[in-house]
Amino acid sequence: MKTIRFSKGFVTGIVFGIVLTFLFLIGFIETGSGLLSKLFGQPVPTNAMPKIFFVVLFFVLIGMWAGSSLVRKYREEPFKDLLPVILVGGLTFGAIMGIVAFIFGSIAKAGIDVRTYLVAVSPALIGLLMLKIADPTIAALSLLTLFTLATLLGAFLEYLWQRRFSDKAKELKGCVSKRLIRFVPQHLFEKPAVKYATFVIALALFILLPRVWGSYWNYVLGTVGIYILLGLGLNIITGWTGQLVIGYVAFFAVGTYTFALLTAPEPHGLMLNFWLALAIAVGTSALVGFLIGLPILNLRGDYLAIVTLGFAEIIRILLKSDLLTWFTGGPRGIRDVGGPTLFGMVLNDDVNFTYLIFIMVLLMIFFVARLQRSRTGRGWEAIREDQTVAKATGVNTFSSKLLALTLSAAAAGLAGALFASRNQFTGPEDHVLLVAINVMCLMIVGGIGNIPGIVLGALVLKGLPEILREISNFRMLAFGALLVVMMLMRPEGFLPAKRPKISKPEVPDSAQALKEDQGI
Amino acid sequence: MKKPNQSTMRTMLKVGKYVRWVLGIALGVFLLWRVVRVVTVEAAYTPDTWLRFGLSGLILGGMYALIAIGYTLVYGIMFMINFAHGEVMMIGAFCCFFVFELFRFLPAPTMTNPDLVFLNAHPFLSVLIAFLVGMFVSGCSGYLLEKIAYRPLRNAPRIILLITAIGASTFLQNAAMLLFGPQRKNIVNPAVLDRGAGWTIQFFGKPVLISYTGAFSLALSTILMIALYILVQKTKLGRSMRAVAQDKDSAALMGVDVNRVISQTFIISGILAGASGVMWGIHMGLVNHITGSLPGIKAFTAAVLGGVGNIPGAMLGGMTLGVIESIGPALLGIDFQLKDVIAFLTLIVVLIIRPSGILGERLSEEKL
Amino acid sequence: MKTCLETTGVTKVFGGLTAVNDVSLTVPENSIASIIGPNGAGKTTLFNCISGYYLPEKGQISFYGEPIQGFQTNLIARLGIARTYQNVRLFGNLSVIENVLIGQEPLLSANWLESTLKTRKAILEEKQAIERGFDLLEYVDLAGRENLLARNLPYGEQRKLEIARALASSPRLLLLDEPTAGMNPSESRDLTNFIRRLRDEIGLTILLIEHDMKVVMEISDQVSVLDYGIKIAEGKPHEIQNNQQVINAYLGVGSAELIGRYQKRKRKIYA
Repeated sequence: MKTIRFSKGFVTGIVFGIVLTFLFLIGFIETGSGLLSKLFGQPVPTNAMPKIFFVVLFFVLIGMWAGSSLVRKYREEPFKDLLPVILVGGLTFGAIMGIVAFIFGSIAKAGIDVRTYLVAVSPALIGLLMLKIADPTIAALSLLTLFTLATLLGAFLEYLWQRRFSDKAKELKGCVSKRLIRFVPQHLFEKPAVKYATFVIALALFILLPRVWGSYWNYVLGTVGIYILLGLGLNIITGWTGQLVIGYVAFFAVGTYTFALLTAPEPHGLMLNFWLALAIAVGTSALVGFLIGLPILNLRGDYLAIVTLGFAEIIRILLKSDLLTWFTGGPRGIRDVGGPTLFGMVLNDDVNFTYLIFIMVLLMIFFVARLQRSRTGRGWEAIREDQTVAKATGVNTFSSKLLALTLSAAAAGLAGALFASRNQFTGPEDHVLLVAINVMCLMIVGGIGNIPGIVLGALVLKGLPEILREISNFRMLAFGALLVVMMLMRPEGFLPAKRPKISKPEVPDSAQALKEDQGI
Repeated sequence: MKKPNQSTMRTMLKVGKYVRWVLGIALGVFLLWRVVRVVTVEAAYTPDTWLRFGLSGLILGGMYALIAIGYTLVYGIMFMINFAHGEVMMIGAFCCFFVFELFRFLPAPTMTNPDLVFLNAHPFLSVLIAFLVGMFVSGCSGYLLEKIAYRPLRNAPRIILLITAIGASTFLQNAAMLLFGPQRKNIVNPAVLDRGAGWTIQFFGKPVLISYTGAFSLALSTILMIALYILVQKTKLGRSMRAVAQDKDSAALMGVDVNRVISQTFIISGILAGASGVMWGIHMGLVNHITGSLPGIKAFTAAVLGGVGNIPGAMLGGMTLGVIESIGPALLGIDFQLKDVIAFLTLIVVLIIRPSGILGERLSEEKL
Repeated sequence: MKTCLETTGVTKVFGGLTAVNDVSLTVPENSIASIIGPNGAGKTTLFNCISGYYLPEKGQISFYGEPIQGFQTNLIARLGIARTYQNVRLFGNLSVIENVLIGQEPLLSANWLESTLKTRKAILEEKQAIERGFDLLEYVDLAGRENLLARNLPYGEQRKLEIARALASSPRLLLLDEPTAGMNPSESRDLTNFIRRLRDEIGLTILLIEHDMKVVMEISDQVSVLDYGIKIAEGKPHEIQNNQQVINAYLGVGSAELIGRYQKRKRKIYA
């Protein structure tokens, strides 16, 4: 038994060592400790190095994580039996970090700049890794001790938590939530008065907030709203119908460009009415979706993914090329895209636009929720679950899938038109595959097939990076890792979808009243 | 209950079948007209240029074919598109870069030339080492990818596997970008294999260069393709792979270690992609984090073009796509910027007209 | 008595293997017909031909006189043929009632626009569908389970749900593929009675693939035996029981003779 345990510690140490070395090589140590210092209220200007203290803290936290993850695997053993494994883990981790520090420290000391090959590894970063200790050997040994101790500490704390406190904590949590539930009676939310009040408050917030919180937040929430539209749209074809579409950004591009070309003064000089252009953009996207679906939806499901990917790439290349500049405005994009007008009033400021996006999102949610509970929505989900059986049960799988794709494309077209209009500009760079990955991420994180999940996903994945500007470099890396990790651990998303509850149809009212009269 | 009109159903099915034929013929006629116009009327290019295009198409096609084989092997066994395969090729290309860089600065002075570096002193050894390293690292990458990201999801719905693959691809691309920077790196070949050097032949009175790097790439691609074909057809491993691809459960019942076979498939596709990556580095000379992305998509296109699940199909598809991409823009008289567009359009056209590919699909059937 | 289903010379070939070889079968309306035979005899393949999943190379399949071979599966479902599967294939992540609602697809007609706008037609249709769904669940004894996820049901209830889903489209012919697989004797008994009720109360025609001989012998009006894709025997249950070729097919060549000799010896001893 003991040999197996050692290897676990060893492996954990190596894994953490490799991960932290990787983070070092991409420059995340600087960012990570910067975030920590921000957390403690000492914001670091972007070009300066955070204090060593926070670097140490960052390392210690990671070491503690390693230790606690080791302990978490064993529930029954006493601490002293686990000690050897933890030591092995900590020493391995520390050894790896020490060796890395030694190597890079020596390189730095010799005056070689590795930035031709590893762009993030500046002398300053190496200094941080070595905890600003000049001599590489001492630095290596310090790191060895640091990580070993941190691992031990983390293991110990986790052990305490597991053995002594977690049961008590669970009890406490149960107590507290029971109290809270009593405090807020369940029926409260069913009373019409409460519903009315909630609605009024929501409405008030909806009207007031955009006016109050400044154009920056309007912009952020507007972007979130547009991504909610995209997420809901992708959800129809991928979340519900189970057909993966990678190049979803293609439909988005059709929407933005159709709208832009119809309302901008150049290159065509058509300055159509906002609403008309919007409708045409949505219609064109829907048509494109339809046309792509016709030949491809009959084939193997994976082909749709690749064809949409190819199509998205084609669109991007065509938009960027000089050839079609006469039509599309070329690499420089289209400026002065039109804004909304209502009865002659120009509503192009950020407040009104946020209202517009809010309203569109609400409409979309309404539309999509209704679809989910309908025969059409159920047919889609049946196709996802088991297409062959769905077809044998009578669902016309081809037309169902085609409808789903068309509606998804239409949603993307709507989002695209709004995007172009709000930014008053669009260009080929807005339509890179990254957008599609973004949308997929938020759909998956929030919860596939799940409307509240998508809203949450959009808020988290679009809102958070705006707040945590520091990590914008690492955003795509994190998304990629997030996709993999979510699929491995929680594919249903953070807010798993709940089936709509269908209850037994009620007995007609006259019979009910009769029953009540008779005191039954 | 609505009784569907059976005769209309039958006619619609027939019409659908003919539409494909009509579209195919119409497209063929249009393309033929265009090609004839360009070649004869406009005569924009002389025959030696055509040869040059053709040759570069074949060389490119060889690289695509190696990557396509990887896609088709994995798809045949697991019904998943390994989106991260392009990144495995990128890793191979980076290995080439690093090996060459190392040897470029490793001094190997001789009596006659005190400034000589290892790269130029032992060019063939350097190239060999680059290939071995590239293929090894890529093979390991394929293995790790499968072990970490795909194996736990072996029985999950396919869409989840696809999403994981996309996540892995994004992660690897961005990791490469954050580690090595977004700028494309220049790969310096040994002096003997300089990209401009090669044999010059006379074709229709004009000189045409067959570069050493190109010839080398094409030769190596062919050798690897033949080796793979022999592996799959004649060896025990190849038999196991084919068995697992046809029917996983029956193969398991016959004593095949399915997990191991799948890992080996990923390792082999990794090795081939790595070789392709190193070739790319030597022949094209530029590498960065998105080097693998476009060739990856195109290679899958090639696999579909040849018939998914079908190894000779992938080889044929790869070569064909390479040639189409190189000759296509010139042949149709359109801008070279659009060569990628031609590759994708080929895919779409093939899927509309002949979805099972040139040599036909070879995949296991769904059991009802 | 009308003929519900008739297959004439149906042949299905896969590469080198002839899975179904010139099988001709007639199933009269309002009866229970069973198809039995050793594993791999081609029974499920025949079902797949009938339900439209495969196109037979040769032969005709007609449903109430109309040819249906080669039709798409959803069309065949709309014409009134429903089926269950050897390994239960439910829509696992949907709720029980939703599975039954999807089963009613051939009867529903509200399109997406009507559903979204909640037109009167859509509301009415949905309401009726839900009522029908609940009735069906009660009929198969799954009342009260309607909002559970289908994949969380125990195995026996999953099979019942699959049957409910098949019944939801008001079919005229029901294809059951090994419905009692994995059931204990009392569950099998319940299911046998249930199938009989389907024929008697609703007037359904049922075509059954079964391995449990008790079930087959008890409720079948006719039994057909397939072996290596060929129909080797057909008739009333008791006729099949003693058929030499059937015994050989199940127990191996020569078994019929062995059994005959054993029975003769038994009679001699007890005579």
